Amino acid sequence: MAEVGQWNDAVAELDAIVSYLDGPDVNVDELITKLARGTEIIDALENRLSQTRARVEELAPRTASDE
Amino acid sequence: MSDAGSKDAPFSVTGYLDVVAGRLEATLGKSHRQWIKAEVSKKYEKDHLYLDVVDSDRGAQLKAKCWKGTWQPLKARLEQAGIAVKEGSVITFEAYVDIYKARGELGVVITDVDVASALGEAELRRQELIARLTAEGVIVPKGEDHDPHAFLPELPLRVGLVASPGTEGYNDFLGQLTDSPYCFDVRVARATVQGDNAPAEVVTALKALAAGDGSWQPDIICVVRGGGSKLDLSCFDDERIARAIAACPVPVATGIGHTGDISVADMATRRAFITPTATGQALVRAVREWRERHVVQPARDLNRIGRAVLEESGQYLARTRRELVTGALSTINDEAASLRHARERLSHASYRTLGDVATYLASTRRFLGAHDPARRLQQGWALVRLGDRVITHASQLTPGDGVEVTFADGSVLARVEERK
Repeated sequence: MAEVGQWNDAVAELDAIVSYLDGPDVNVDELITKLARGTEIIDALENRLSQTRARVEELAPRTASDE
Repeated sequence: MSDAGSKDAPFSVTGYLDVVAGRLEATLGKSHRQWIKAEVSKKYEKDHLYLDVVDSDRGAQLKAKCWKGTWQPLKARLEQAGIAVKEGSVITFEAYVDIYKARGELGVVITDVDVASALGEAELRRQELIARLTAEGVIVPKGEDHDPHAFLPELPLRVGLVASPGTEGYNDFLGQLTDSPYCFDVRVARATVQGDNAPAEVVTALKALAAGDGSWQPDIICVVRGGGSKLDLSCFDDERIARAIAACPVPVATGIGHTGDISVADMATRRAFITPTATGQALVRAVREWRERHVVQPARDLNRIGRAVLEESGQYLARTRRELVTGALSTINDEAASLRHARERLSHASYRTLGDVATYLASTRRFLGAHDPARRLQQGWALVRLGDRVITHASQLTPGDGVEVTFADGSVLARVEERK
C-alpha cells in the first residue's frame, strides 16, 4: 500500500487530482500518472477507513457494556 | 413553826428549786406534757440532742433536750420524712418541764416531735424560698414541655463536676461519660453533697470550677448527687446553692437524687436532669448530636454528592462514548462516501478525458484521412518524386532528371525533357 501521508493531506492531494482531471488541460501522459496516484490514494484511505471502522466496532460493544 | 419560805424559815436555793420543780412537775411534768412550737436557734448533738429554742420574734428562749433513748428513734422518723432539726427549723414538740438546779436553768425535755407539722413547716419555708427566688429571677419558671437537653451547650466536652468522689452518683455520672466514645475532659471539684456543710462546699466548688485555671474553662458544670432520703437531699434546697447556680457564668446542669426529686437547685437551672446517670447521658447525647450535625451529616452529604457527581460523570462518559462511536461511524461513512465519490469522479474524469482524446484522435484521423495522397491519386492527381523527395514545384526539376510518377493504380518512371 502506497504511503499517502496524513488523511487531510491525502484528501487535499486527491481533490487536486480530481480537479485537474475535471479541468480542460489534461495531458494524456499525465492522465495515467494522476489516475494511478488518485486510485492509490483512494485505496489507501479506504483501507485506513476500513481499519478505523473495525476499531470503532470493536470499541462499540465495550461502550454499550459500560452503560 | 414557820412555813418554809417565810422570813423565819427561808428556802435554800436547792430547797426553793425543789419546790419550783415540784410545783412545775405537778402541772407541767412527765404526766402533764405540753406541746410547744418554736424555732431552733442553736443545736448541739452528741447522742443526746440539745437545743435552744425561741419564738419567731426572739422574745423568749428555752433550753430543750432530748435524751438519746428518745432522740435516736425520733431522729430516724424525722429523717425518713425528710426533716432535719437544725438551726432555723420550726418544730412542734412535746415536752415536760425540767429544772437544772446546778445552774438554776429552766428547760424542757422533749419526748416527741410533730412530724406532720415539721414537714408542713419545712415545706412552707421551702415554698416561701421558692416564691422569693422566683420573684428575684433566681428560679426560672419552666413549662410542662420544658426540655433540659435544649439548654445544653452545643459541644459540652469540658465538664466541671461538683460531686463527692466515690459516691454512687459520682460513679453513675462519670460512667456515662467514660463508656461513651467521646473524649470528655472532666475536672472534679470535691464537695460534700449531704448535711449542713454541703451548701457551702457546693457553692465553693461551683465558683472554683467556673473560674477555670487559665488554660481550661468548662463548657458546663454538673452538680450531681445520687438518690437518698429527702433529708439527704434537702441540702440542695439551700438558698445559697440556688443563687450560686443562677449566678454562675458557666451553664450549670443538675442531676440530684432520683425521679420525683426536684430540689430548689434544680429549679435554678434550665438543665435539671432526674439523675446523675441522666445528666451524663444528656451530655453524651449532646456531643453525639453535635457530631451528627457537624461531622456525620456533612460526611453523608459529601458522600451523596460525590456519588451523584460520579454517577453523573459516568452517565456523561457513557453518553459521550456513544456519541463518540456514533460520530466516528458517521465520519467514517461520510469519508467513505466521499472516497466513493472521488473514485467515481476520478474514473469519470479519466474516461471523459480518454473519450475526449479518442474523439480528438478520431477527428484528427478523419482530418488526416481527408488529406491522404492516395485519395488525391484516386481523383486523378499524380505524385512526383525525385529520389525520396516529393516534388511540389517545377523549379525543383531540371531537364534530364529521372522522376517517379505515382498514380492511383501504379507508378511510371519518366525523364524531364524541358521546363516550361
